[in-house]
Amino acid sequence: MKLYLLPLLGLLVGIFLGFVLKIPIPPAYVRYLGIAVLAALDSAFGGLRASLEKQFNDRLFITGFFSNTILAAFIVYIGDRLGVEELYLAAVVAFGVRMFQNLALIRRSIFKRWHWE
Amino acid sequence: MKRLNISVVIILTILGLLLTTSFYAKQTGLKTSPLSRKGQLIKVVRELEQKRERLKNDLKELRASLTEEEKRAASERGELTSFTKELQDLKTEAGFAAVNGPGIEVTLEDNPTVPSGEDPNNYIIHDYDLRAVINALWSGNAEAIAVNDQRLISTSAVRCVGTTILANFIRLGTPYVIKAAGNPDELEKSLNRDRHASLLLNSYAKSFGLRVKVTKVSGLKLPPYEGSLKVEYAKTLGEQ
Repeated sequence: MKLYLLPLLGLLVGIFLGFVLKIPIPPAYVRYLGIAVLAALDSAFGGLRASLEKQFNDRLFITGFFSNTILAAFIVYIGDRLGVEELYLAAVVAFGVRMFQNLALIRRSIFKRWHWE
Repeated sequence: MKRLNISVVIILTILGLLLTTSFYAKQTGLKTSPLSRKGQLIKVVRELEQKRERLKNDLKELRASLTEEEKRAASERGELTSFTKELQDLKTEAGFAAVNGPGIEVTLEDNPTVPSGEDPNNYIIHDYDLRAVINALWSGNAEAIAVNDQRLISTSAVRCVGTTILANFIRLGTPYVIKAAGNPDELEKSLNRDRHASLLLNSYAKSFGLRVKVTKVSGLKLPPYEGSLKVEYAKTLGEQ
């Protein structure tokens, strides 16, 4: 049970830090941050699903977290550079769809685990 | 599951930090959006304009009481009379006294309807149009000129800021009424002689539908200059 709580505690500490620090973000970069957060959330859900399916690999999780976040921000940047500002939609759709999929799988795993089926 | 280690905790900490940071970024982003910034700036301008109006009224009162004092001093002491007279003449020439007399009145008005597909810039009165007319009037020996009741003095400028025309730092709006005191015939002749002014008043007015009116008036009233005149940097040289 403790193993579950520790990451959750980390999340809460992060949220708390964000509230306290209130890091100012220039308005021009808000979009980048938004997409990066989406990617990070996607990774987190992915990790949760993997751990519920007992396939969790911490190295995969860590690299996935950073590469997804950076790639997502990079896609927005490339879109802005090419004049295709809508390119960020590709990232939004990809991460959005994956998040819903992961959520569904998480739900299923929990059902299986608690024998609710 | 046993491999769930500190790095995952750190990652989730970062995620939490990202979440709240982006939450705040969105909030502050809204606060400093161009629209609300525009509203703030408009408010600042309004407040400053109100303050200027108050100060201008103060200045007007002070100037009136000054003139009163001068007159009283003159009546008390005979030798001051000639000086006061000279002072009044100088004030009139400098634009610090209301004047009336014959002159010419030029009204310039935008064309309110711009044909579609045309450059709207051609259908409005610009600052350089006003300057052309004013300069032509000065060269016609105008003794006093006022634009929309803004008396022009030696330091006055008629200029364009954004989409509005300023005279003495006061915003002007269409129609622009330029009153010039002087010999009406001479002033009219000068308007026709000046290349820019005559182009504007004759051909441009016709082709772009600008509403232009030039009338000779026998009893023009021009208000005094109401702004401040603070000579801060220019030092008076001794008479040589």
